[in-house]
Amino acid sequence: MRRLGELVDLKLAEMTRTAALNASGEKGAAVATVTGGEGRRIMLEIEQIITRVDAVTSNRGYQNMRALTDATWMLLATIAIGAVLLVLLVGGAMRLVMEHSAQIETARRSLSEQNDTLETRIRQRTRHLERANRELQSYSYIVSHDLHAPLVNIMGFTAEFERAAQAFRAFLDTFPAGDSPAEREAREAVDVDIPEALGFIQSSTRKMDELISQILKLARAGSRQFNAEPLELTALFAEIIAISKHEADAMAATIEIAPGLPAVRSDRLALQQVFGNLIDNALKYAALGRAPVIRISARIDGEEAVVEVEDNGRGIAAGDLERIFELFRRSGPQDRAGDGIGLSHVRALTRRLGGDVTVRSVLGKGTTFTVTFQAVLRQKQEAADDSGTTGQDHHGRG
Amino acid sequence: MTAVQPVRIIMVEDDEGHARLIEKNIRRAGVTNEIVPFPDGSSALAYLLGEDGTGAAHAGRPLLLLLDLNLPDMTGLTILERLRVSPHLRRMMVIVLTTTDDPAEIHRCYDLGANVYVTKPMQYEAFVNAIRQLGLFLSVVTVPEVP
Repeated sequence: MRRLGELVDLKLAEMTRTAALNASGEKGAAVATVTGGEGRRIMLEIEQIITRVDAVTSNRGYQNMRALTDATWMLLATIAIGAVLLVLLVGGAMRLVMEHSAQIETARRSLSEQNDTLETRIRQRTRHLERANRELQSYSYIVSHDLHAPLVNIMGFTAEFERAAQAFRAFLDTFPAGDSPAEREAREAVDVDIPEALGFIQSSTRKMDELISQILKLARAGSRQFNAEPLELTALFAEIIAISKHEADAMAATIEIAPGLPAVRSDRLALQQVFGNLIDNALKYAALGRAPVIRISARIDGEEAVVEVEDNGRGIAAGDLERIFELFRRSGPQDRAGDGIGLSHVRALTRRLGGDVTVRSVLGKGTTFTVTFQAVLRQKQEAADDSGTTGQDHHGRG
Repeated sequence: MTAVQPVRIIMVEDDEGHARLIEKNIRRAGVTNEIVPFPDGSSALAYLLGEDGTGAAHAGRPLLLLLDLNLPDMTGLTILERLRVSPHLRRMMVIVLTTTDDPAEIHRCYDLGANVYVTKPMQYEAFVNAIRQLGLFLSVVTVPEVP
């Protein structure tokens, strides 16, 4: 190629010369130069070189073309493979997604089925419990009624007996007093033994009548329909305390309501009965020689209201902690008036309010009752519960 | 009480003791009317409605029913219902005597046409008073005849 450059230079120089010759009118000399050996030789050589270059370059171009084609094909193939891979990938991805969503759908369906089953089961359980509760209520109702009937007889005929004894005594009094042993005995029987026996029979039947009435009251309270209303616990407790104020003052008792108690939505009367009972108990079972201090606190925990009534009373023995909630059971020295109804009433009420009552106590130090109930009372259940109870309970027990 | 046909008292009471106490105290209150006792609902209904089941057997006679609600074979309410659909007995005077003091049950009795509802009191004095007053009541009241 360098040679070609030199030759082109030579040729150009020659052509310049020729042109100059030509220009200076020496046409003949110019033609001679062009056609002359020198110019001709240069031209030939240039031609050869160009031919050679041509051959070389054409060969290289072919090779380049070839490489280019190959590369293109490679590229195409790569792109094709890429496309296929892409399609596969997308396909796979879609399949995965579809499989996944199918799985999710299946899971969702089985979950909702399980939910349905669970709900059905909960409904069933609730129904069973409601039925058991109703049966228990109607049972106590029937028992208390059927126990009343024989009591009417005992009371009635005791009175008949008393009447007969009085008639007999009046008859004896018409005779002047003698001193035969038979007469003394007869007079003693009429004056002392019979009235004493009748007195015990009557006081016992009266006691039994009271107990039966209490059970009846419990059974009726159990079927009373609750009425949920918004209640400020602070105000509610203040009302309850006001009821026991006289007694509390007489005992120099302190009753503290913690500040900032929450508001709830529940049955006023039921809560009054529950906490009225607990406060009465706290006053009644105060420790000897220690002024009662009662503290009431409350908080909302999730869906529940939790109320604590704490006292510094005589406490309850560990063995009696569950027993005190049973009907007619009382703990500790039986030196205070009571019939063992209050706490079982409290428990029955709190359970109907969707909660429970528990107790912890240190004998001789004090007792804390913890009452939980639904902060917002669900009423529908209660209504259903009640319509059933009323229908059953008020039917033909005479 | 008419001079011609004195009121016949029909007492439906399954408890023998109650029946006896009721009767004794009615008698003590000076009521001398005939008392026909029945210990269960079926026999009382059979007597009241008669063989034809309409109650026509008692036509022309004033009747008074002392009814206990808690009977072994049926409730007193059933008897009340049966009487109220009988053309002859529907105006018959009915005094319900029971231990129930449940307002709902008292209302039901009045709804079914009971004329008086008396709770059997537990205390003897109150019981006697109730029966005596009932007896006095019986001696002054005019009981409708069975048509």
